Amino acid sequence: MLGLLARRGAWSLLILFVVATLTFFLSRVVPADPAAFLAGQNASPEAVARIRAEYGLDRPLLSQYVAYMGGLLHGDFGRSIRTNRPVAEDLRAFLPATLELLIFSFVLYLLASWFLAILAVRWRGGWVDGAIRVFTMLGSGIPVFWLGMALQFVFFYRLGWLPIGGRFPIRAIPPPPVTGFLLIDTLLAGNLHAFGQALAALLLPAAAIVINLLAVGTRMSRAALITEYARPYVRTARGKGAGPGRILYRHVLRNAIAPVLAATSIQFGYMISWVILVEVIFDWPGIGLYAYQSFEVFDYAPVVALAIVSTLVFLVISLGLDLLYPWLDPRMREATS
Amino acid sequence: MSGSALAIRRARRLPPMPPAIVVIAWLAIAVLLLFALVPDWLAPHSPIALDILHRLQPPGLAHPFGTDEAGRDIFSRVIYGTRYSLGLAIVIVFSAALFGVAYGAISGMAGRRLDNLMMRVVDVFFGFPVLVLALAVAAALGRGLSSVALALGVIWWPGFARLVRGEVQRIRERPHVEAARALGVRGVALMRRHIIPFVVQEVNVRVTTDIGYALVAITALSFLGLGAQSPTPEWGLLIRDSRSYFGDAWWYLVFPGLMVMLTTAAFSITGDWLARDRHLGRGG
Amino acid sequence: MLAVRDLRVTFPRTGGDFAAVDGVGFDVAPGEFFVVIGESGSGKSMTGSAIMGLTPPSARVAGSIRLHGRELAGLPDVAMRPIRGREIGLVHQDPLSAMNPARPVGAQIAEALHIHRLADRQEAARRAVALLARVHVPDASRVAQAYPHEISGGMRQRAMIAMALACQPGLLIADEPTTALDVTIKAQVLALLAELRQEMGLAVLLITHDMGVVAELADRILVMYAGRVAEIGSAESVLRAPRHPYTRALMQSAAISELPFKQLLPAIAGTPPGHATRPSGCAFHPRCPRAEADCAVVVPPLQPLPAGALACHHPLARAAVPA
Repeated sequence: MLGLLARRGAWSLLILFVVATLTFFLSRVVPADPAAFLAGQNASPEAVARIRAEYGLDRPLLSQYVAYMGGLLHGDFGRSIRTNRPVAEDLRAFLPATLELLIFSFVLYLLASWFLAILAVRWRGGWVDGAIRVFTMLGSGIPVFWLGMALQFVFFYRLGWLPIGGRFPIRAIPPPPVTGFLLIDTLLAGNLHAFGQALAALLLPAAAIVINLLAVGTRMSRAALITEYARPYVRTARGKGAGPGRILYRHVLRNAIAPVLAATSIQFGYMISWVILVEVIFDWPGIGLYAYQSFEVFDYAPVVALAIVSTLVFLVISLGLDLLYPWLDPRMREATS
Repeated sequence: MSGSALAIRRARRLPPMPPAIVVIAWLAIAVLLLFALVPDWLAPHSPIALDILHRLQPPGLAHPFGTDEAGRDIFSRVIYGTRYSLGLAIVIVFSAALFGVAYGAISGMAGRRLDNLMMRVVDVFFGFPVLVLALAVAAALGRGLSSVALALGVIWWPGFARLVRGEVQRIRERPHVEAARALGVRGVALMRRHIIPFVVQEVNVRVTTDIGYALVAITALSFLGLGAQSPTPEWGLLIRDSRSYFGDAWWYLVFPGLMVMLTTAAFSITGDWLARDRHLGRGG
Repeated sequence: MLAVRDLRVTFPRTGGDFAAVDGVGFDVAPGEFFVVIGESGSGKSMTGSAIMGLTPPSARVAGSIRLHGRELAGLPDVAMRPIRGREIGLVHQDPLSAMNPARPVGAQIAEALHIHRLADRQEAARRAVALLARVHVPDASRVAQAYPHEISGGMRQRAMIAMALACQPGLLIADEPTTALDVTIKAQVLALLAELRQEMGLAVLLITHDMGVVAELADRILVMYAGRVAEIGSAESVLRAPRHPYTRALMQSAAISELPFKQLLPAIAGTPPGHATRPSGCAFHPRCPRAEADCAVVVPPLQPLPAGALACHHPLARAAVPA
């Protein structure tokens, strides 16, 4: 187990290294004039010169590279032209919003997905199963940004139930920041009304992500469950006199989790992409929106930072999930020990 | 007749009449391809003709999908946009498939070390968040459909490589391959006659369903402004343009989105149908 | 104790329903070792499934299956559950996939007791270990903690038998229990079945295509072909003096050791009919050396005999059973 952890850890570091090198390549080597690239389109010649000095862009490429990688290790991602702050600082400020959205969405997704898959299997062949299959078929083709806008249309423009965007009503006073997660901070401050407002703001963006994930994930869960049900040990259990409930909960679910989990780590990659789109649509002040707004004004340091950070997050999640499998499936324990 | 030839025959046999929904999907795809290839014949209006007097009209006889903020007919714009959205998706997936299949086949047939190395490279790309990469590429190389194509192509080929490598390894162990080997068949001929035919089936399924997903990715990138640029009527751009107006002009949002959704569904349905015989075709 | 009459299991197909089991009838007495022999596709496994009520959802079951006089055919699943495991035990082939890979062996045996509420958690666990010991699994308490993939194939099959017998049913249906096993293990498992039957007064319905299995243990034998009964009789009479041409051909092709050296193996010409190609009249007539005109037209009825039954228009003469 430890060996596996070490091997995967080393491999992840390598990937991170490669990605960081790629971003260096993209931001320092590819552009005709890296200084102008980093200074942004509207920079004056003095600003460009300043950038050139600040980043040491005159120095030989190799020493630039070393400085760059060293900077990364220290969490130095350069400076954002737009906010005029170190990118690292900006990231720290905006990260909690993104994390809160991601975690909230993912938990919601896990619950909904199993629920739907079980429904689909329990009433296999019935109209519930059919409806779910239609949903997964159509749903996997719905672009998440379009879905977000559609949700806004229904729940804000037509029904007025939920806010069109933002994390918290503009005129309301946010709770004192403890964790940076509004849902938690409002509860800690004992402010239930604010909790409700924060929750209301979360619902639509999370729904957009969850519905999309569901369309893809339910398909996989359902397929995994059906495969398990076809296996001989289910017949043995029936031969013992077990009823459908026992078979589902005690036998099938346990065995179906592993293949589903494998697919989940890929979905996490999708989620990270979707978060950017959702933040843009819903004006959600997370790192996705931050990087995108920078991108729009040709301020590229944040974009590079986002690439590296999201790679890191993705690798960590993958590693975590990979470590879960042996725990869930005893057969794999042997293979990894 | 050799076992391989028989199996190949079986795998190639024409399937019986497919269910209605699949036929509908095929018709839809045919229509879409027409849209992409000869939009002039099919679009009722010009996609760029301005008509401010009739801006933001709801759907009606003259304009089945309504008009946008400049009075342009959305239906025509959608038709003209097909070649950018769907066309690019097809090109990307096919290119990725070509490269990925070749790569995966080599890796699958290679010895352990080379295979491991090749797969490690694939692992780097696998599951990488598409959008982030696209942002970085667009930042470095400029916006436009070519940047999008590059970014997506890079993301897409590893999937095929992995798929093909897995399949090749699986089939490699099959008795009929061993038998062929024992007869002296080797290398490229072995691949071509005894392994590739089985792999092709799987690849076809993947290519078909992936076209839909690539389409969604392209529209997402255009939505963000990375891909197609105004006034190209690419579907993602249309949705982006609708952002300021959709509160009142619902049709501006709904129809381009529906096009994406239904196109992807058509390809998914076809892909699923192609996959249904998988277990039969795999009989060893 | 088990009386099956005119059992039919049909599957809807375009172009006409397919009867996997087509009018099968037989009796199993308490404590009897009853063997059903047939080639693949003869419908023997489906017969076993029908008795347990475990046919695929698309199948339709008709006829009568009486256990201790109680009618089982047509019972809804809910009503069959108390019977499965408790009154009839089931063992099927390939114990590796027949066991849940994620749970220890002992827990799966104990589950049988839980389902029928015969013991609480601790008691069931204890009994599971005792059962494993009973089926001659060495180091029973360690095996009970192990996972199916951690123990050998022979031990797994024994564990399956323990599972099937946990609630002390009166009838054990064993569907090809030795197919996935090595020859030496095969013999051990069969000996185990015979022994348990002695000790527990258990009736065993053994379904197999393997002739070698049959000779030592069977009390009575049922030969199936293409979903129908060919012949039923005591082991002696079926093995030594078969009356149905198919049975005779089977016995000849299996009796390798009795052939003079260098003689060609007798094989039955042709192949058993598949789904779409079942012949009219007697299903065996295209391959039968004794076939005549009426065999192709009329399905031979199952005629009861003193010790069994026979379905043939032109059976072999009744030979004396060699001493």
